[in-house]
Amino acid sequence: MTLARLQRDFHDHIVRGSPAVEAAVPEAARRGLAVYRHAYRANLIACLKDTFEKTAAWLGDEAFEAAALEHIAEQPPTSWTLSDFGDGFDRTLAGLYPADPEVAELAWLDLRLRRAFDGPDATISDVAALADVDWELAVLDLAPTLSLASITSNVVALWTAMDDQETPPPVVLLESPLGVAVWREALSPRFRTLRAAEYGSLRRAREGASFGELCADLATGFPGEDEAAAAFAGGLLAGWLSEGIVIGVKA
Amino acid sequence: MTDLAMTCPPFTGFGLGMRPPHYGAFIAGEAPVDFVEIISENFMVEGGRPLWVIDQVRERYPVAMHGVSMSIGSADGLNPAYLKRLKALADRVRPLWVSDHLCWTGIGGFNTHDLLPMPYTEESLDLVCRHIAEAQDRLERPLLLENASTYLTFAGDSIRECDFLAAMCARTGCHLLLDVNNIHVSATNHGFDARDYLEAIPIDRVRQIHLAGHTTGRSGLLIDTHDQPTPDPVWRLYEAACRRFGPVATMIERDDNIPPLAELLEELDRARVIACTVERRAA
Repeated sequence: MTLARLQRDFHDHIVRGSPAVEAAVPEAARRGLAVYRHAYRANLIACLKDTFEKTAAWLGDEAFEAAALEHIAEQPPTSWTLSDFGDGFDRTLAGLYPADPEVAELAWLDLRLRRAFDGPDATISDVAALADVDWELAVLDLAPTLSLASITSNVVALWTAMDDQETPPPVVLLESPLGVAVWREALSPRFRTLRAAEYGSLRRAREGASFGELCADLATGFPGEDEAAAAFAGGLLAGWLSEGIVIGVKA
Repeated sequence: MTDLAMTCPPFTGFGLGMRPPHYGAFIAGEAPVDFVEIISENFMVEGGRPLWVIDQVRERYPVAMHGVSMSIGSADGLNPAYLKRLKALADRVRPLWVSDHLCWTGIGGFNTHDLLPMPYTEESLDLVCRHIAEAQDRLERPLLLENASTYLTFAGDSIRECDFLAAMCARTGCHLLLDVNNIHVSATNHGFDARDYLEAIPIDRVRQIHLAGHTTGRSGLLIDTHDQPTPDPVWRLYEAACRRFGPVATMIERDDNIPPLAELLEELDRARVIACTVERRAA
């Protein structure tokens, strides 16, 4: 048997329990196969528990491990880095818990915070250099770790309570969706909710709209009140700059 | 590649695997160790705190880089993207050396993220040696390979693991990270003599030694869990390794059930005492 054949059979045994590899293992040594079958799943479950700490706490060990096994079966790892294995776990959970959107939303928040933790560093523009910017045409440079999503539950309150080791509040489904932003400021991952106008503006900025276009969009919420609209847009921009959500303008 | 780039000067001393609960002590330079070992993949990231941590630590300690994802024995071949990221980290850290395991982790584009056992055959030896040469070329550094714990053998095995390691070194010029706990675990699981194993390992190729603990699994096999203090049989085998190899960089590798740093330092002191006693007797 070639090495490639043996390794394929071994892999198939670990992942699916296929028996072909047993012919290549002396009978007295076959108990060792169970060690590898167990270690494969145990390592991946431990990886998911580490990345999705709050989600695991919310679901409890039994339900979380069942979901993790589903994810392992549906999406066996392919990347060199174990870190990538968490990608898509929020979608796995959305499929398993269609009536409980807070579960997938917790997972999204856990994952994006982990990605922000070791994502690309931001090169923040000198504030003085922004003085001469033509803001009408300027395209905002967003933190490279910024993630945006729409949420339908009080997931931020749930996550925060668990992080503070307090009893989470009851799940509340929102009357209308909110946005949530996750990013890293210096070395610290951050997140906060966004009202619809701010969420829409950041999404447009990420698509490459100029600040002038963002202002025009926002003005529709202030009919006949141009100064109020400009002040609102300016306030958003000042907040984004101070929080590190916007790191400058694109050249 | 120049010969100079491929040299791997010996470094002796006593170190610890750097794990998150103890990062603060290493960043502050407060841990009395001669070197630290990092898990390479934990720092092969784009930015943020991990790279900040390693930049601080490398200013205070010599650093050894130890990987788990090279999959040197996979019939799929090496992953160039992985090696590129590993080289970038090594260029940043300027480590004592870069190591990984004699194992494979996946096939057919899948990755189990486990250290899977190699069949010890001529075909495997040829493949592993080709991959070591390729990795050393791409990394522009010599590689250390560690003996992994194994829980089974293959019917087609035709070479002892220790002879496989020796042949690998002779053919490629690579060095060894000898995990004394893994030798004990595999020797117990497969019924070979751990001291015979040591005798087959070329003295001048061993650059680092790992010490760790293990547990007994439900099947009766010893499992390399790294969640216990180093047990007495491993200490005795370490003493035999010290007698054979002389001073070699030695560290405690604890990955789970991680105790306070002081406990690991006490364990490391025991290694110092054993190594020094053996050295004095030999003088």
